[in-house]
Amino acid sequence: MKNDILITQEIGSFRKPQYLSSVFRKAPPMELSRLKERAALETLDLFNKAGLDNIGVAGEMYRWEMYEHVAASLEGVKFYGPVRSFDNRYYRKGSVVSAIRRKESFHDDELIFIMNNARKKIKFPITGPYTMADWSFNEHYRDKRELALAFADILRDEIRHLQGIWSRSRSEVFEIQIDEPAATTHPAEMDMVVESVNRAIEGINGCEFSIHVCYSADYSMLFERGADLKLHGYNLEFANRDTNELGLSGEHRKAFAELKNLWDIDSTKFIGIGVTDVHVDYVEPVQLIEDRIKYAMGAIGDPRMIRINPDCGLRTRSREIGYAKLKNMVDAVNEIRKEL
Amino acid sequence: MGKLIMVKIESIEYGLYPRTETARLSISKWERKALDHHSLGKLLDDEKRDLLNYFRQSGVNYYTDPLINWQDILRMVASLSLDTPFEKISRYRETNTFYRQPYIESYPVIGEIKEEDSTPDSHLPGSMYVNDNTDHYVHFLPGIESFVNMSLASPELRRERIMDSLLEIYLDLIKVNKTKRLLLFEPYPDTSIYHGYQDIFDSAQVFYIRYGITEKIFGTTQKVKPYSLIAGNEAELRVSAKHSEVPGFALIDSQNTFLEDPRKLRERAAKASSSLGIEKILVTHTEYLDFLPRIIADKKVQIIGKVGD
Repeated sequence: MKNDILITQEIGSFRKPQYLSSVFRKAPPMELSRLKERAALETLDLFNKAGLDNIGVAGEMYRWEMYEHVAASLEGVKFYGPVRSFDNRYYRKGSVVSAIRRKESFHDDELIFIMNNARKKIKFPITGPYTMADWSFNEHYRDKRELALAFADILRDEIRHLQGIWSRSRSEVFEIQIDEPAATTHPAEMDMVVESVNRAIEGINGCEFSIHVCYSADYSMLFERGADLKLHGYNLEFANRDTNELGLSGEHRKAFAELKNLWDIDSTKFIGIGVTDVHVDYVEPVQLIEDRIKYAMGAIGDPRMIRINPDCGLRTRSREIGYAKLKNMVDAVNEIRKEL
Repeated sequence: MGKLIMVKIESIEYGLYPRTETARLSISKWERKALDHHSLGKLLDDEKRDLLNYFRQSGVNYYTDPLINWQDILRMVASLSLDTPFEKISRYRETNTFYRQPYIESYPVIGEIKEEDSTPDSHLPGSMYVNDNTDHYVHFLPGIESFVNMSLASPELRRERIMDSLLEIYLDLIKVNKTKRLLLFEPYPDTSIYHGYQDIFDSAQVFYIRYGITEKIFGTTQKVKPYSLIAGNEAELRVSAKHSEVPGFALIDSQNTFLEDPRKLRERAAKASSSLGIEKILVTHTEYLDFLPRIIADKKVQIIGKVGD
C-alpha cells in the first residue's frame, strides 16, 4: 500500500480523559504533569490503534485550550472570566492590558514528551498570531495589526526554540501547523493575516508549515493570498457543510465542490481535507468518507497533494466517538490505497 | 450662533447577557442529567429577575430580558415555531461565536415552549421571558429578515411566505405577551426592509437595531417607521433621526473589556444630537453583551446607566 499518499492526520485536540480534565486547573504541577503524560500515552495508543499516519501531538493533552494555553503564559494578558463560544461552551478570552512578552517556552515540554514517545510522524499545532489577536480584547495596542504583529514576534521565538529542540535529534522536516481558525472571519483583514503569519515563521528553516482554518464562509479569500503566504499546505474543514448521503456527484458532495476552484487558484500547496464532522456524534461510515476523498481526488488530481483529517480538533466529542471517527477515516483511506 | 438644544439622553440594555458561573455549571449538570428541568428552570428565571433588578438599579431606562436560557438569538423562537433539529453550527457575524442554524422545513407556525421538551440543542428550561411589568421592560425578538437569513430553508418554500408566517407569529406573541415595548434585533438585514414590519411597528413601541442603516434602505420606504431606529455611527444616526421618533446611538463597545468614561460618551451623544437638532436620544451598546466576561458586562451596564439621564 502507498502510505505516502493521502496521509492521515488529526488536526490537534482530542477529548481529555476525565481524570485529567477534572483536575487540569487545580492539580499541583507534579501531579498535573504525571496525568498529562498518562493521557498523552493513552491517546497515542488510540491514534496508533486507529492507524493514523501522523499522530500530531497526541491530542493536545498538555493544553487546556488552544488560545488560553498561549495567552496565560504571557506577560501583559489579564483574564476577567470566560466568554461564550456557543451553547453552554465557554473559553477564557484574555485582555491585553500592557505590552505582551514571552516569559518562557509554552510548548517545549509537550514536544519533548511526544518526541520521546512517538515513532510515527508528528505535526505540531501552534495557535497563529492573527487568531491570538482576534480572540483577545485589546486594551493596550494602538490597533489590531500592531497586536497581531506583537503575537507574531512571540510565536516566532517559540517556533525557533522548538525547531532547535527538534533538529537536535531528528533529521526529518519538522511539521508545524499554524492554527488560524479566525483567518477568514474578517475579509477586510486578510493583509493582516498574511503579514502576521509570515512574520511568525520568518527566517526559520527546516520546517514544513501548514495553516489550519475551519468554518470559513469563504476559503477562496485564503487561497487568493496563497502566493503571499510562505506556507506549504492548508488543513481545512469540509465535512460539517457536506451532506451525509453516499455518492460522488457535486450534489452529494456539495461541500467539496469548491475544491476544484480552490485548487485552480492555488495548486502550490497540499490540502488536508476534513472528512469527518467534529460537531456531531454521527460516525460517518467508511463508504461516505471514501466518497468524499474520491470526489476530492477528482477535483485535485494529484493524490500526493491531499491529506486526510477530521474537520477540526475532536475534543468536542467523547473519546469513543472520536476514535470511531478516526478509525473509519483510516479504513476509508486504506480502501482507496488498495485501488491505487 | 446655533440654537442651544437641551438633549435628553436615555439608555437601553438588550439581548443575550453573560451567564453566571452558577448558571453555567448548573446547565452542565442538567446536560449530564444530574439536575432536573424544573430546578434549572427556576434557577435561570431567578437569575433573570435578579438581573432585571440590577439593570433598573444601575439607572438603565429600558432593558430586555437577559435571555440567559436562550442558547443563541434564534433558538427560542425557532423552537417555538419550527419542528427542526439544530445540528450545524454557523459563525455569528465576524466573531468567534457560533449559533446553530435552524432548518426551515415547512412554513413556521406558532407552538408552545415547554420546559419538558427542552434539550441542550434546542432551548433550555425556564421562561421565554421573565417580565418585571415595569415601564422599563422591553421584549426581545430577532428580526424576521435575520431569522430567515441565518437559517437554511427547504428549496420548496417561498421566502416571502416564510417571512409572512413569522410575522403572524410575532404579532401573536405581541398579543399574548401584552407587549408594550419590543426590541427587534437585525444583525443580518436584507438590502431592503421587509414591508411587514410596519404591522409590528404599529403594534408596540419598537426599538429597532438594524446593522448598516442607510438612507437608501429607509428613504424608499417612507411607511416603515419604528419608534426608535438605533444607529452604529454618526452617519447612520442622521438617517435614524429622519426615520424614527427617537433615534438611538450604539456607543458602548460590547467587544472590548476597556471601560469607557460615561462622561465622554454623554458628550459624544449630546454633540451628535445637537448637530442634528435632536431633542431626545437613546444610547446603547454596539452588540449584545454576551461577548464579554460577566464581570465586565456588569460594569458596562453601570456605564450605560450613567450615560443616560
